[in-house]
Amino acid sequence: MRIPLLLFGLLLGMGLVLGYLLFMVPETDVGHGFTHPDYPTMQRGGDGAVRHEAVLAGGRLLGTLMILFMVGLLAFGSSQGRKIGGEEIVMILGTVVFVTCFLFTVATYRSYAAQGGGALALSFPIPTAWMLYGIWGAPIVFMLLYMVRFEPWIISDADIEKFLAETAADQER
Amino acid sequence: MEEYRNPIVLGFVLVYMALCVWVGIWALRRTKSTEDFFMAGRDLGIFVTGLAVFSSTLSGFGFVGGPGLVYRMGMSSIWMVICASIGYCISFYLLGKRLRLFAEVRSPVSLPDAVAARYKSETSRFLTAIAILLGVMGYLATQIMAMATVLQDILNRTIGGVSIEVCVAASCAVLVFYCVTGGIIASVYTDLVQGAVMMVAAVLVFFAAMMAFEGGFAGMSETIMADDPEAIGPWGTLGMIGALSWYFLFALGGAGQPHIITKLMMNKKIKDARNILPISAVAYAVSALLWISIGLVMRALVLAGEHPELSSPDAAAPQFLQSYAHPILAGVVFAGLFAAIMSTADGFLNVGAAAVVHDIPKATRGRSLNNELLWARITTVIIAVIASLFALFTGVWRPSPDLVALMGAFGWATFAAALVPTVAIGFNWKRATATAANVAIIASLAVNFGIKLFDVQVPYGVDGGFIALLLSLILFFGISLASEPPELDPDIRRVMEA
Repeated sequence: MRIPLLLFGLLLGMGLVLGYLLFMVPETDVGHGFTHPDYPTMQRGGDGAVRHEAVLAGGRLLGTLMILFMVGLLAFGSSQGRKIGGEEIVMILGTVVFVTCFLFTVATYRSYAAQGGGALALSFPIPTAWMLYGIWGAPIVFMLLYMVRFEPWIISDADIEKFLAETAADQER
Repeated sequence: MEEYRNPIVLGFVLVYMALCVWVGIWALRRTKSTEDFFMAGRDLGIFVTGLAVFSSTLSGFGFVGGPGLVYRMGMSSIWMVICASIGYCISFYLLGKRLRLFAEVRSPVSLPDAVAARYKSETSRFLTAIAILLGVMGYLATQIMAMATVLQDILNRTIGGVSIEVCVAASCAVLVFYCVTGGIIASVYTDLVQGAVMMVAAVLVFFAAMMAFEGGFAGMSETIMADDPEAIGPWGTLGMIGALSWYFLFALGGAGQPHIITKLMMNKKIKDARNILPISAVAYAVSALLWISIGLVMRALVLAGEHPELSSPDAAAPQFLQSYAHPILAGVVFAGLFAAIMSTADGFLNVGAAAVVHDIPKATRGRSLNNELLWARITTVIIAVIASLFALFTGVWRPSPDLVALMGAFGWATFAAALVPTVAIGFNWKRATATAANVAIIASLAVNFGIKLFDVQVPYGVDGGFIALLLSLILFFGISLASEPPELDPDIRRVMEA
């Protein structure tokens, strides 16, 4: 019961933040891009510092709530209250890494936008590198956890046998 | 070899299409029942299921529309790609075990079958089937349009003067042939080949793109940054809030795509899910290199004056392959493009046919059609023809046709907003009620289609599908928490407590 309530709270939080951004913070003229003056099939973003000034804090909160909700879903689907070993700790550490990567993306973007560019790291601007390598890569922790601890954390052999036996008995009846 | 480029490319594509037809005929002999047609007899191995899940995820939307979006908007659409790592985890954590257990106790032949069993509600079955059918039409149209766009590009360079209508008809015909004859067995076994082709193609393209621009990806970044720092920044030209809306929609949305999650009921053993997850996720990550690399290199090449501006963003992938890839590589990648498109489209035809011949009749008159297998095949043809006409209408005949990727995003959102609460959450939560599921589906369809049909411009480029998904989730949780817990059948309770 606790996790559904938590998930519902996170959803309401996301709804409130989104509603605030959509209805209370007026968008600048070119807030989500405009047609490139020389190449009409492309778009440009314009001045990032100006168009994100009013929404960066709200976006940071929205993104963090999204990540917490998504990891909450993993917790919801994983163990049905079954506590085996250190899975919860790994989940919490994975969440911290995931959120940190997102927060670093936002933090480094702030100076990138203010300067109108910046140095590259691993072939991309630093905030883009945080996004590509950090946010894309962080959930590997959850993937490994699922693979390595599937049995007994997700379901144990004994559970499967019991389930199949009960199902067979049902079908015979 | 360069003078034979077009015949080589066409040869690869024709060989690939012939292979699909051959697999269809082979699978026809193995398809003896409705369960074989829709669920592959629940007898698939780890690699077949893993590659089928991944190749159904990455479609013409990703291989044609994805590079087009990167060319047009810079890094914005990369959020649709990087969400896959958490997205696959969400799908498997929530549904990998649960759907396979459902398959053991009730032997559903479709997702609405499982929904009806879970909620003890024929209304839920009906609404789920309707949501699937609506999503299938939009998303299948995207696939057919993507396939026809690529085919037209190839044929016009080889024989010239081929209309998009002819290409749509040809694409539809091959797709229908192997899906009608073999059903899901043909689909998943061609997925195995298609998945492998897509991965090889993506890796080769990644290196070809890197070599096509001086300085590789760092050079591309600098060129794009000099023109517009926002384009190569983390949010692209769309901006932060719009990019985040895509991230959430596409991460959660995977758990609501019927053509993907029905495959989680087809593996042999329950424990196979532990290995299917990494196979699908890694294969997707490798193949997504194509999405990122072609879009970036084409934008950089045009900005640097090394390539003329594209006629349309959707031309990014075909133009790159025709201009910068070795003819044999271009042939392999074009075959890979068709692989991506067909592997997703056949899955749509399958779930769409199941909705029409199995679920809607069951929900409305208490039983499915007589001779279901025959009707499934007939319906497959009808759905493909209607989707082809829809593709021509939205992508060609309308005064301002949609980009392939944006058509695809709408199809994805239709499934996601309607089915994530009902299936992904509801199958894990005993307290979820049929009323909550029904309200969530209706609200999601109303919001999603309302925003699209009335062309509502949401500030900050926020995707309408994200709003629909968020609303349907809030309604689903809120109504369920405010209601009495429902009575569950003992076998369903056992599935949900396992």
